Parts: sequence; C-alpha cells; structure tokens
Amino acid sequence: MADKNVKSAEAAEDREEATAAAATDDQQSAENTQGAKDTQGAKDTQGAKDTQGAEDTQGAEDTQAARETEPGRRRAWRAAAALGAATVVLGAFGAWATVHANSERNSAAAQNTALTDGPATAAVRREVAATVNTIFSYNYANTGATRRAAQGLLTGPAVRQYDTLFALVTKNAPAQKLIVTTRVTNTGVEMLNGDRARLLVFANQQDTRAGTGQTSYAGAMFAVTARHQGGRWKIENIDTFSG
Amino acid sequence: MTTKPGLRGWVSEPLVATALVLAALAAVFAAWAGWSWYRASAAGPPQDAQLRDQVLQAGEQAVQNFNTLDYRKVAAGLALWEQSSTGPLHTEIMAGRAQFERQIARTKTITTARILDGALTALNARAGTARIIAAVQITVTPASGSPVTKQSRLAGTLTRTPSGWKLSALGQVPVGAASPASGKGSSGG
Repeated sequence: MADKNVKSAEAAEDREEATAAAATDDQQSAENTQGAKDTQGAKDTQGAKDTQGAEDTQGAEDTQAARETEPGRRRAWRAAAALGAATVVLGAFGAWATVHANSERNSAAAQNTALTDGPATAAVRREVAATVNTIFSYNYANTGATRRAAQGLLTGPAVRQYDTLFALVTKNAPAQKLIVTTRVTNTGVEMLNGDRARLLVFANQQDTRAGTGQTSYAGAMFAVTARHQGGRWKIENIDTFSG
Repeated sequence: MTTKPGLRGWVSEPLVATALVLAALAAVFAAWAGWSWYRASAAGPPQDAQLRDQVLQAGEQAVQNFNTLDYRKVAAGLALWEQSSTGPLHTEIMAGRAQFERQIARTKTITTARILDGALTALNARAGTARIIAAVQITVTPASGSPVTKQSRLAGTLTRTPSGWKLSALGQVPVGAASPASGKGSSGG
C-alpha cells in the first residue's frame, strides 16, 4: 500500500508539471511504476550505486522550481540508475553462473576429450605413431640420422630415456649390421586434456641383419605420455610396463 | 505521433542510452552464463565422455574375464566368459565349451590376468560398437611347477547389448610384418 501512496503522490506531481499530461499517460504509468520501485529500492540498489543522485532527486521534488525546470533530467537519472542496478545484478549473476559452470566442467571425465574430440584424438594418434616409427627405426650404417630426427620429437624425461637406449644402438648395431624398422599397429588414446595426452601403443619391429640376411619380428607394447609443444605432439615419457 | 517525444528524448539522453546498452549486454551475458551453468550442472560430464569411460571399463573387465580361468571352478569361469561375450565370440565359446572343459581339466592350470593398460581405439555410440586394445599380464600356474608370466597385446571389438557392452571379438595382435591386427580370432586363456 505504501507503493500506491507513492505512486499517487508522484502521479499528482507529474500531472502538475506536465503540460500535456493526458497525451503521455502510457509513459507516465510506466514511469510511475519505475518511480515506485526506485523509491522502494533506493536503499539497496539505487541508493548503493548513486545515493547522491537519489537524494538530489528526492530533494528536488520538494522544490517546485527545480522540478519544473528539469523533470526530464530527473527521470533520465532514475531510469539510468534503475538500468545500472539491473546491470549490476545481471552481471553478478552472470559471473556467479560462469564460475559454477566452469567448476562443473572441471571433472576428470569431462576434461578428458579422448575420442569425444575426434580431430584432436586423430591428430595425437597420427603424430605419436609417426614419432615412434621414426625414433625406433634405424640403419646400422647411419644411426646418426635417426638420432638427429629424434631431436625435435622428444621432450622431458623421454630425452634421457632415449639417449640411454640409443647409446646401446650406436654401440651394437654396426657390429650386427642391424636394420630395424618399427611400425605402429595400434594406438589408443586414454587421456587427452589440452596439451597433454596418454596413449597405449602397439608396435611391430622388423630386425634385419644385413650380414646374414636374417629377419626376425618382435612385438612391443608401451604407454606414451605426450605433450603438445611448438605445434606438434612430442613424446615425454615411455612406460614399457616392465616395472 | 507527437505523443512520444518524451520517450524518444529519454532514450536519446546519452546517460540513459549508455545505461540501456550496458543493461542489455549484462542481460545477454547473464542469459548465456545461466544457460551454460544449467547445461553443465544438469548434464554432468558430457554424455560421450561418460560413455567412453563406461565402455572402456566394461571392455577391460571383459578382457580380464577372458584371461582368467581356474580349473577348479571351470563352470563358473566359462559362465563368466559367456556373460562377457556376444556375437561371434559368444558363438565360438558356446561351440567349444565342452572341449575346453575337458582340456582344462586335464592340464589343471590356473590362469589369472592383470590389465596393465587399456584404451578404446574407436567408439561409435550410434552403432553401439567400439574397439579396444589392452596390455595384459597373464600368469599361468600349472598343476606342478612355478607360474609363468607373459605380457600380451590384445585387441577386441565391443558391441552394445541390452545387458551392457560385451566383447564380440578378442584376439592377440599378431607380431610380424603383417598389416595391423583385425582384432578377430579366438579367445585368450
């Protein structure tokens, strides 16, 4: 009922000041509602944002002269304040909802895009398979070529793991005249999260001894951790399940 | 329409116009944020991610079941094989069951398996099919003598059935220059 009182008081005032009162009925009722809301909400929204404006407006209402010279400005201030309050409320809600939406999405299952992101999954499979084929294929006559090719394909702990392994290759391959060709047969992405991935890899190795012409085959299985660096997937760690 | 200059003048007031634009932007932002929050909380993890994890888990369990058999509990073990399989693999097990039971009773072996790692290589939710690869450590304990442990590379096909995802094919990935494993073949164990 307080609303109504304010409304009728306001309406009376507005009618007094408006020269074409009847003509702007629609607008007035809208305004009056606004006015009533503002008066009510002045303490929490408008008041907090623009106390001075509200106070001024309120004060101006008492002064007949001020009201008559600047009725439009007063209304504009009110409207702006109401819109400002709405902006604050909507913005706050938006921020709150965004924070909550993000925390909901941050569960482990949701963050893993293996298979759910087809192109990204295909890319990491393709690049890791190519890397495995490259770094585990070598010719006794030119092991340096493989080592050089491996340079940009490994990162982190894998660099040392590979160095240790390849030291043996450099030492033994020439004596055995060994030509090793590695072909990845199966890859499965277990985890893909941004620039990190983990894959299970099956590969076949064909070992040929150039001296005797003997060829043998071996199968390998290992899990690879990969990092996306400098525009491509690099192998960061190799787990051969030997532990 | 000379009745509206007030409203028009109102909005053309820079202060009100600015406030209106800001409020509209805030409304759009709030609507978008509210929608994305609703989506995130109502759906939980995306359905496809949930399905992937669920299928992988079912697949790993089935692979393990197929590499586990105790000669003292053959019936129970083979019942588990039947439960874990569908399609061609199921048919194969049913056909070879009697012979297999005789064989295992004679060799008196206990086979256990541990999944070292597993991954889906394909998943087609609409068709209800998936492909799985698994690194498995299999331990065979004979009636006399010490257990033998070997690592095995298995590939399988999973098919959705009314009672869950089951293996319709499972086999060792062949070693050699041959083309990538097709994933068919007989069961392990």
